[in-house]
Amino acid sequence: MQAGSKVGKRYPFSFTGSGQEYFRIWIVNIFLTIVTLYIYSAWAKVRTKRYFYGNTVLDGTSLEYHAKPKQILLSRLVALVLLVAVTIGSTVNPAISVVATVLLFLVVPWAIWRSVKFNARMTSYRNVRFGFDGGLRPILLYQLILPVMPLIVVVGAAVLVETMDDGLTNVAALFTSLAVAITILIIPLVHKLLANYYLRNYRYGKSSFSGDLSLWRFYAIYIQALLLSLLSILLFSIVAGGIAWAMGLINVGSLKSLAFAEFEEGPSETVILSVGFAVYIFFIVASLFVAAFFRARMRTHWFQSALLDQRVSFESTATTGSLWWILFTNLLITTFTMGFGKPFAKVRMARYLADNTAVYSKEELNNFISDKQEDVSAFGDELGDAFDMDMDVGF
Amino acid sequence: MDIIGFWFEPNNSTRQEAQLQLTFGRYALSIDGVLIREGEGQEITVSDRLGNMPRRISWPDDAVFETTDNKTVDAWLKSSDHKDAGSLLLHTLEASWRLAVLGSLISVVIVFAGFKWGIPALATRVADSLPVSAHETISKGALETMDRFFFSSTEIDGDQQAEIQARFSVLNKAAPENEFSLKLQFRQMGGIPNAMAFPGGDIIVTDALLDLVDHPDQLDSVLLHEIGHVLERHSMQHVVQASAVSVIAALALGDVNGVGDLAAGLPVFLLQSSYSRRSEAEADEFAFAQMATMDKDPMHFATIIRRLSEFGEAGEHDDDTEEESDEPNESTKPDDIDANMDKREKEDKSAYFSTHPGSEQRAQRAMEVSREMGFPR
Repeated sequence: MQAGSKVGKRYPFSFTGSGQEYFRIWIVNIFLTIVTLYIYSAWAKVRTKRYFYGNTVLDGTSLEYHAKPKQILLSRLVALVLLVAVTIGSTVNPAISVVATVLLFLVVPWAIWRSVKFNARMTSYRNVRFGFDGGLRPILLYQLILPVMPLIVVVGAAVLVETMDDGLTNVAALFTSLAVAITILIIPLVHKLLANYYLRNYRYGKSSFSGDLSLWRFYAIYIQALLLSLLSILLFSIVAGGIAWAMGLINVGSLKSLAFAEFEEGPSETVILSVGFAVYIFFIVASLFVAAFFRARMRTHWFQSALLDQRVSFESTATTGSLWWILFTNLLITTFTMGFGKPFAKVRMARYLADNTAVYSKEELNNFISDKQEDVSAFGDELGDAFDMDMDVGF
Repeated sequence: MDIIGFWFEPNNSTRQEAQLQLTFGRYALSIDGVLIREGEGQEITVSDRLGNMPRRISWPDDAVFETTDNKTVDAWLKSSDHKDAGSLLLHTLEASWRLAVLGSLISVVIVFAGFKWGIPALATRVADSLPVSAHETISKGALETMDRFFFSSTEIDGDQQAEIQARFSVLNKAAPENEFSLKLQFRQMGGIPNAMAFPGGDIIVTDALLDLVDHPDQLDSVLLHEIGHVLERHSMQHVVQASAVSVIAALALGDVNGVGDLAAGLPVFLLQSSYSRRSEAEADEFAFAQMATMDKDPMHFATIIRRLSEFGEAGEHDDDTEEESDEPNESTKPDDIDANMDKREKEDKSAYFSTHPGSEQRAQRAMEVSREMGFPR
């Protein structure tokens, strides 16, 4: 069977949770977390994950999340102590925050790796657990070395400029710009390598995922996203300039260029505030649109490329427009309810993603067999979580 | 009680429709009427009830029976006194709208009270319990940084310096007993009138501030304000407050995306500003109280604060260097008397965004105290 082929029966995912139901779970989580001085947060996390996994249904059976709160609690507390130490340290001495950032940067790949392993192991479908077999080395390469190497070249070049005499300054400058250019140009490549690594190392029981992501699709998505950003800024400038002109804010007679536009009279504070607010809103809307585009395209490509056990293929029908609409309205819901709408927003997103995911299989989803696995500690998972690096590899 | 659901052999995704019969303390599982397993109810583990999602009943060998019939499962757990019945308590909490509303209200009250009183109280306690040497440690680096990047040496002549130092030591002696060694130093800061206190006890006055002064008590009121910052340990309090707020923000917002962070930054910023404003008001009150004991008129504070404010407004177009973000480190930054150059603070109505209470408000307060103390108008 080919990846992306729509052969066999289509099994759509669905989400059976509701905002009203989750709201009550969420508020109990918050309340108990506050009252128990953060201890309950481990239970809260497990209940939240169980709720979203357990309501994601495929062919009449849901996913399951198995982590035990006590497993998570210890690492949560360690992460909390670290967080407090780093925060206090950096306010007392900025150098500590620099050192902590560098250390964190070095630890991130390891934490992500543990997190991915742990979460895969703690997830099951139809009594068979997922797994992740990827080694640490590829993550180190793709997440740490490749993105940083050109930077090291830059620093090296800078040191060269410092030490060398004038004749070599140009060479060093050339090196620097080359390194910066390479850093930017290889982003899609590194992302693709990393994505391939994830895709091929996931396992469902004894059956492996496979797939081959396309390098040129990655470049296409990145370039399109970049063009979209530029286009939206251009559009905004035209519209904003037009409105300002229409409102008579800009004196066209003296208008040489927009940057040097003169105000006929000092604009009132209200005008400045509302213009600032409009810019703020526009950039949120525009960046959500670019984010939605990127996510929808990437998701489609990932799912198209993946294959499980040579017999199950995947499909994502999420589109930029509807994903953007959900992101945007979710932001409104959350903001205008002072955060109390967040559970509803979260359920809406989960429902949309589930409704737009399906698998194709010629046979029933039977006969997948578990593998004996070692237990994975929760430590890396929680460390990653505390520093806001939860890897979200959605199925 | 009979439940229907799906049966999974250990470690296999193959799904079979099955029937689980639950009686008092016992179970019996059958497929198509053929008995597969039976035994004690306590042998099986029932997953916690959560919303209305399917229940997993599992055996020690990893066999699983999955059912959506939550009602019957719950009834059986309760009636047979099963070990997993305890988890139903959480579900009872989570199922009730009344409790959800109550929980929301209590949470909001706790969070509000925590930010308004809890964190400042914690900060005060921590700052008070730390030895003076700790305050000097965070002070030292900050002064060095400021010296390197923002200050230049003073052009005030020695006689005037000695005269001001003499006044300062009078103020210092009149201050409540303390372990700090207060030192007054002179600097220039790009022509900006300002005074600031470093937590270890170093108080800096800029040349430009001295130019604005036309009565010695005006300078005294400013110096007393700065002494107030040092003795009430405001810098250390800010360190604790800033740390507490950012840790709580990190924990509470752990899973928001980038755009969400943008929106979350504002409340954090507003909170920090409100703590700063509180410290300024406290330092003002300290100055007024000290002036009362030394028979000085707080009216002078009103005069100098207004002048500083006017300078800020006049200077704001050609002088954008005095933005707080330019300072090397937000929390160890000294408490300066005059953040009024900041254009956010141009008018009192923008007080929510300012680190200092509106200047006019502070001047009004000084005049009020002056009246209370019976100074003639």
